[in-house]
Amino acid sequence: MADAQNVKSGRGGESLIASLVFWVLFFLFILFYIEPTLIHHSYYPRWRLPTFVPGTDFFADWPPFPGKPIVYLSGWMFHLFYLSWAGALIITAVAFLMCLGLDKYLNAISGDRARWLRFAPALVVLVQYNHYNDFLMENLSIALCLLSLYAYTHLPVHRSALRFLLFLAFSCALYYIAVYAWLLFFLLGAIDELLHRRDWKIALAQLAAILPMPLAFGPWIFDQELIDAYRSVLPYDPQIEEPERIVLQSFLYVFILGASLSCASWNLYSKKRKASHTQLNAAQKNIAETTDEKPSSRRLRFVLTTAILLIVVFGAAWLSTDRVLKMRLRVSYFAQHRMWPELLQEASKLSEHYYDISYCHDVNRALYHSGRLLDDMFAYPQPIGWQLYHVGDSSTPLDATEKLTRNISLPETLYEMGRVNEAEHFALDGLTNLKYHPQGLMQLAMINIVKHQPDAARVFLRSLRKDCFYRDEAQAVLDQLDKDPDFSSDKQVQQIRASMPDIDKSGESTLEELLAKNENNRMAFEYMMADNLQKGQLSDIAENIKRFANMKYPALPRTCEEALVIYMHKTNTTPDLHGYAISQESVERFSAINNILFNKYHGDPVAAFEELVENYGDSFFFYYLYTYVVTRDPNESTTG
Amino acid sequence: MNKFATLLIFSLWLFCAFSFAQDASETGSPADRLPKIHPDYSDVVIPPNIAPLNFYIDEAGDSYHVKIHSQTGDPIEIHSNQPSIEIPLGQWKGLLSANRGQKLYIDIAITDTANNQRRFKTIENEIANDEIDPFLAYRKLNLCLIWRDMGLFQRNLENFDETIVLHNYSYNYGCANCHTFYNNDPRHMTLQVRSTLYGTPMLLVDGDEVEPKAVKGEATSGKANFVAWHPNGEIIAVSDNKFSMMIHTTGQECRDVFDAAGDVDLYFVKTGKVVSESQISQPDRIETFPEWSRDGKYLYFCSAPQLPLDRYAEVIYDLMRIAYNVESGEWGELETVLTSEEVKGSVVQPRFSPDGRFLLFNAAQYSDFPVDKAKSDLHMLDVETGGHRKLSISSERNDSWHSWSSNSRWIAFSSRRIDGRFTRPFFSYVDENGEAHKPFVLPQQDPAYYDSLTRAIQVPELITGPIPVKGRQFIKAMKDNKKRALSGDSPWKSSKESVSDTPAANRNFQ
Repeated sequence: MADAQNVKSGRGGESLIASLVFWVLFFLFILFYIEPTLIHHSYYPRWRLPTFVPGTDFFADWPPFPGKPIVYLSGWMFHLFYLSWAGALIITAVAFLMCLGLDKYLNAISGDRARWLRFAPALVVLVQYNHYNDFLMENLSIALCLLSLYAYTHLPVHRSALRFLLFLAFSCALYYIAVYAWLLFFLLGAIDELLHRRDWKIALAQLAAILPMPLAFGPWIFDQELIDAYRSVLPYDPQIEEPERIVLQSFLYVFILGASLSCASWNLYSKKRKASHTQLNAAQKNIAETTDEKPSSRRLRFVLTTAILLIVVFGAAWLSTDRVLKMRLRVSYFAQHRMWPELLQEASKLSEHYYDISYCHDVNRALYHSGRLLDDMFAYPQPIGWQLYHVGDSSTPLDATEKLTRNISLPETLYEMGRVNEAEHFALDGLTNLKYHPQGLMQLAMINIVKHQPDAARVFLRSLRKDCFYRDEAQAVLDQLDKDPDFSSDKQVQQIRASMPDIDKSGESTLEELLAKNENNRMAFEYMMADNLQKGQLSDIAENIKRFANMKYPALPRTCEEALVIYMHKTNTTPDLHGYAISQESVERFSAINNILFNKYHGDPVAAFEELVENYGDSFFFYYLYTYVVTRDPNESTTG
Repeated sequence: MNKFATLLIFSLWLFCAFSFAQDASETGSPADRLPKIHPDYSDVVIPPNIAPLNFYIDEAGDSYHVKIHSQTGDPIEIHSNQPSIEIPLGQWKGLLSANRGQKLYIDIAITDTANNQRRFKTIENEIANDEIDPFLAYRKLNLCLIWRDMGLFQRNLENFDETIVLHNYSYNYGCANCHTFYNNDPRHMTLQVRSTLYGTPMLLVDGDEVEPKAVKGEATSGKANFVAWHPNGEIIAVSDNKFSMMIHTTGQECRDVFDAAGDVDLYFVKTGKVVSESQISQPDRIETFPEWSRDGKYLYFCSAPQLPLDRYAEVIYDLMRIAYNVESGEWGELETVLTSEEVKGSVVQPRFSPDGRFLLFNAAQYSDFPVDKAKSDLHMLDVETGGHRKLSISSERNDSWHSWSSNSRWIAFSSRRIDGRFTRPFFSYVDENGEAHKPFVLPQQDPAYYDSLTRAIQVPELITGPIPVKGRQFIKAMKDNKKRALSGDSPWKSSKESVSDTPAANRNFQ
């Protein structure tokens, strides 16, 4: 953003280098710290941008509305966030365009004042994306608005009437393409006319044109109700529910307006001052120029200002990061991509305070798929009031990441268990809730394959095939369907078919019913046992030992052993272990806990908590002690 | 010399290519079978005013040659490197209008990469004399309980123009429920809306105006579900149902709709009066799907015992009727027209042909929401003879939401026969004897349109022209409804309360 004056004075090169450094760092920050693929994964951006809903023609199936082209464009660009580097590039490019546009506009109305202001949009963009929401549509609109203003202010038109007509032409185009920044365009145009060009008549005419234009365009071109026509030109949609989003969305808008007004006013004030103190100013200018000509101090000032700028921008961006949301999104992302070790590692970093039903679902699923559910489930919080995998019914209020779990992970969990119809129900909801939901299409295709409905599966797959990121995957399943419409050679499909419930009823199948249908349904069994453990139902653990034998578990899982140790201790009986033995390690751990509790802390579990949680926090012994023996708030979880 | 030889070879090549292209559909080794195409446009009766039946050839080949011809007029010839065949609209219209009542032939030949030609048996269709109403109004929506993307659309059947009448994007993702026309007239219709912002009004279109209307009676809560216009256009029979959603743990359909209660009232258009009658609002029975006989003397409806959710499979409907004197407002005795035992299914969605000769209805295993069943069939009752039969055009899958054309010769219905999951609009020609001919799907510009469309197209209603009102007029009517509710002028609830108390199944169902 080096202007001609800078180049002439020899500062252009430095400014260019500073800009380059800034934007490279900006790109790297977005790529490695924010990770745009997480934004792509998050809930609200998918929901807001219906552009690439598979099976839908955005232009034909959605009514015309002001700003539809920018919604389409931003939807298309957002689609590329699937690849983090592409997302980082897009965010950087849009931020750069905004900064460039603001620079040119401010330069036009106020000269070379407060150049640091030009980087403010970049800072705001970082803060926006630190909250894992998407603002592409708004930012693109603002960039377009500022660049349009730049074009307008540089048009060699001096006749007021003609300039006004040109302004209206620009505004009409902006209303159609990017209505979000339309009002901003008018206000900035009026600032230019009033404070820079000093043509108050045109400024008034521009302000006056704000009112009738939505009246003319809204109802007659876009079939909008009048109030909706005016609503659509506001800096934020009053119907959106997220206050944080409203603040972030409006801030940039208001900032640009305020900065422009301040710069233009200051410029006007300076000019007046200059006129009355010409001689003094000339002397000051000479001093300033003399000072500027000293290369060492100029370089120092350059390095300092650049350093301050970088520290302020990236420091603010780092400080404003919603780290909890980022971790939750990473867990959800890993769950979607079945990256179980990464998921468990990420989950272990999150404080118990931030655990929710979404986490609970994903962690337990990851543990199951890692073969560790019945060994390590208490290494993670298992709040007693929460279900192990369900995410509430349709009336349960969920936050954004919980919605992701409900719409993406839950159908998969249900499908893997054999609850295919319930999986289909949630997957169908997911397809609409998330709008852009390619995994949902694949889920539904597989569900229909399992249900011997290959024709329906093909519709979902052909729709998925239109998505460049999933084309090959969809085509592979389509090819397989052509060869073997029943997927008779697919082991997982056969296994799920064997696990599907026989009894039709309204509601949901219980884990017991699934096991009654298929006693080898390992997932249903492990979740049932995990449920028994969570509920402290020791006798149910004892009664189900034979199932471990039936499913040929080499040994009893650790938590079940621990539950059996407590059961035997409490009932003074030994259940039929069906050939299994309680490991010495479990017996020793039980003794050690008892020893600490009773000998060291005289039976005071509160006093013993710190030591026990440190050494035995991941055990069922610990969970049972602090959930069922020591009276605690049932909603409070016990951590490992 | 070289130049001359090159020119000669090029000319010969051009000649060959042209000749081949011209005749390919008539030459080549013949196959003793029909070509595989989709959608299935073979052996169907088509209206003389229908849009081109674009199709996709499911045969491997390098180039495709199609000749469409009939008794008179120039044939349409298409040569393409793609299996997707798009027929020029102008030529198609000319061919059809010149050959009403005649056969329409489609010859297809394919050339493979080795320049071998294959010619298939000729596809034969029939062009009816009777036109179909030129517009179709339908709902297009996702298979979801949440109203995120749905709308009332209309399609010009004589070309491929589709327009959005009302999209729920425009009113905060409410539900655009069933649309019902008076005598296929787009200027007189009702539309039910469910909106968290604007309540659950019934919107009445009269000419180019839309107004929310009050239908709260003794039996109805103000929320209309299924409606039927009296032939005089002044009375609307309205059912108010208490739907809820249920999930089947097994079976082809994961979702279903349960109707816990339903009653029918009469709404008088001019006065706004709502009349209830105990015989059509019995507390222990569900009355729904009202339909007037074409002479206006009888109100037909469907009736089933009111049962708890766990006995959903026993909610099976009979077809009833009750005499009604428009002049005096007197009701007659309740009569059973068809029992579910006779039909071997739950009798719902009765629709009289405009000439009054036939009653088309639907039969599924149970319930009054056949569209959510894996299978439901179309049945026809001959009013003159009283006989009824399952239509031979019923598929092994789900057929429902049927409507008649204004000339009683065409029916439109939603069918899942293509893939078993997504409803698509189909048309069938019904001759004077009530025989329905092989149906065909609504043609699209892109013949592969339905292959990847993960949205359902439901409630296809044939209308004689485009709906004259704009989306914003519907929105305004909804807002008026809210204003009236807030000012206490309307008996309707218009707050979130009214919608939260709207059963889940009042959201859109496939």
